[in-house]
Amino acid sequence: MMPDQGSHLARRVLAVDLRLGAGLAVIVGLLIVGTAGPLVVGSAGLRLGGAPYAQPPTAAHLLGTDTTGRDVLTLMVHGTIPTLMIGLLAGGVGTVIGVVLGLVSGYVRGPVDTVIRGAADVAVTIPALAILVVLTALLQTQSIELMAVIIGLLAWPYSTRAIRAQTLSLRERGFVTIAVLSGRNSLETMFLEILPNLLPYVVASFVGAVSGAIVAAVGLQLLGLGPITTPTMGLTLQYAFQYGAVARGMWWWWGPPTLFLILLFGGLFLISSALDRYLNPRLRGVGAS
Amino acid sequence: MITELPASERPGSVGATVLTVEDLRVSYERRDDRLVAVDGLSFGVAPGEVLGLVGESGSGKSTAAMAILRLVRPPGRIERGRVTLGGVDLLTADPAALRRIRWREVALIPQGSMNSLNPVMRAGDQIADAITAHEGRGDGATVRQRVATLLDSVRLGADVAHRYPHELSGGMRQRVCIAMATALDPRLVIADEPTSALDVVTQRAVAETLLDATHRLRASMILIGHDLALQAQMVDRLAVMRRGRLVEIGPVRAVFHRPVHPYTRILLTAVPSIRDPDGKRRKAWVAGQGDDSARCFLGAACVQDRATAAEARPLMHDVGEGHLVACPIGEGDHASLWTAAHD
Repeated sequence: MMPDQGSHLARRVLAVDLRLGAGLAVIVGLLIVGTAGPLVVGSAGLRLGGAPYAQPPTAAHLLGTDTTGRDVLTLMVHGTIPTLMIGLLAGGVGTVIGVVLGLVSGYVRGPVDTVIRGAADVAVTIPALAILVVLTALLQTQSIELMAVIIGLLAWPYSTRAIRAQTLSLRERGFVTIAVLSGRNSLETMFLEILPNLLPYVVASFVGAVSGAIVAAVGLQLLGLGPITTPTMGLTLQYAFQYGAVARGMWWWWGPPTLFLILLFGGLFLISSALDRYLNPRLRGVGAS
Repeated sequence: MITELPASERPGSVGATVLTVEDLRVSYERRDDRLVAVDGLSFGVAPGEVLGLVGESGSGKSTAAMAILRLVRPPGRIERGRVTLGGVDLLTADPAALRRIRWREVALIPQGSMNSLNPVMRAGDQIADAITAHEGRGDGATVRQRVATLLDSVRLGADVAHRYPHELSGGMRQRVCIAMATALDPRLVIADEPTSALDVVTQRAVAETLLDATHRLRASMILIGHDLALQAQMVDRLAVMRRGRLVEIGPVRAVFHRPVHPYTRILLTAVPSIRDPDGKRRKAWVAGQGDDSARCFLGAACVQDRATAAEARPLMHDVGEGHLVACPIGEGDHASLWTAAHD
């Protein structure tokens, strides 16, 4: 290998590592704020009327207060984990369903594949938010877990398609033939032989599903369809817009949750783009030799 | 001397067989038509024999191998035929019997075996899996010892067991595949282009390892490939396939020295020869292909145009020493015609 080619490769690998590192750092940082924050600021600030109403940031209330006298900083730190939870739970549910359906569809093929692929192709074209609005309005969800599961149940088509495509290619490989010949049944072949090869894709599609789920959750909450018992970024934004925070110039109210979401999406984007690079067959081919 | 018996049941041909394939027909269904990939294939493999199966890409070699192992998947379908191994017809065997026979009686070195190992499993674990899948989880140390012995038998160090496929060279990966295929002392190994994608030197070394391993087990082998030079060195009998049909089968020397079917001749003249360095003979063949390939080379009397040949169901004619040739014409003593034409 020529030296400049080598250093070029090294630069690309380093760039991927930097992205992945930066993305992980952001997410870990948010997790620390979410777990350690409540211990530092306490939960007194969550009480309605616990502080002067609609105050800009002061020394006592670093991010000010909302129109009901709640401390925005306290809302932020208490809302971090539930917000991340919705994403992880919904992304997890969606990815698990997607992986199972994708593996079955790609491995079994035939009519099963036709049905699953057809359903995924149709589902991709239906705006999930429309269904979510109807479902959450019908079920009147008051728990973030239930909302997350509903979102997750609608998040499968993309991972199904990605995993199915990879499975189609892997099932033709010699080791699958050997596994079948040496007596492995279909389930063992799918989950013990093929799935381990798909882990990078599973992780990538999980990261994507998490971002998608948080977008869906915030969207629902902005429409007033989320649970109002647990503080989340979406709920804070909903109140902020409902009580005209933007028009009243209360930037300290709508600003922090927006910034939080930007950071979260930025972090997830960095991770998924690093994984994309890593999964790029050309780069991987050179890296593996 | 005309006969429709499969090669294995013919006098002067192989006697007892390990594997008998009779009238195997495999097709691929498409939206509204059907592609017959293997059409009326019959042959036998004797104990310890190495049978070469050659033919151009798409001639049905690999499909035939998959059908013997009953691994043809939709849209492919085995339409009819019998594949007898150890007294059991693999095509009608129940799943339990099939599971017992596969790998223990007949093992496969799959096509592109350089890429046939699971990339996320260590080489040793993959060999161990093949053993434990059939014999149950025995004593871990015993299995490890067997893996080491198998690796040694294909001239690989014991440390290879701990490596992932991407840490091995192409030749080493193929040796691991040979070790896996011979792990359970099968009676028959089907090797589908086991040495393709290797350089000539490595190819030769891997081929020798493969022959060594099968000879040691006294196993038979079906060696699929299109490298005629390699086949000439490795196989006992050679079978030539074209468009899903067997066109010629016989002892390797007979087929190489006295090829009868026009297709076999074209195939053989495509190999550069040390006696024909300028390729004059080859060029002449290619130039005259339009005329020659339409006609059976059994003799001047045997002229049949391509259209009729495609319609007719070829019978196998014996031209001596178990050397069988397909001919589109269903009558006439071609053995004598052959002799007459070449006197």
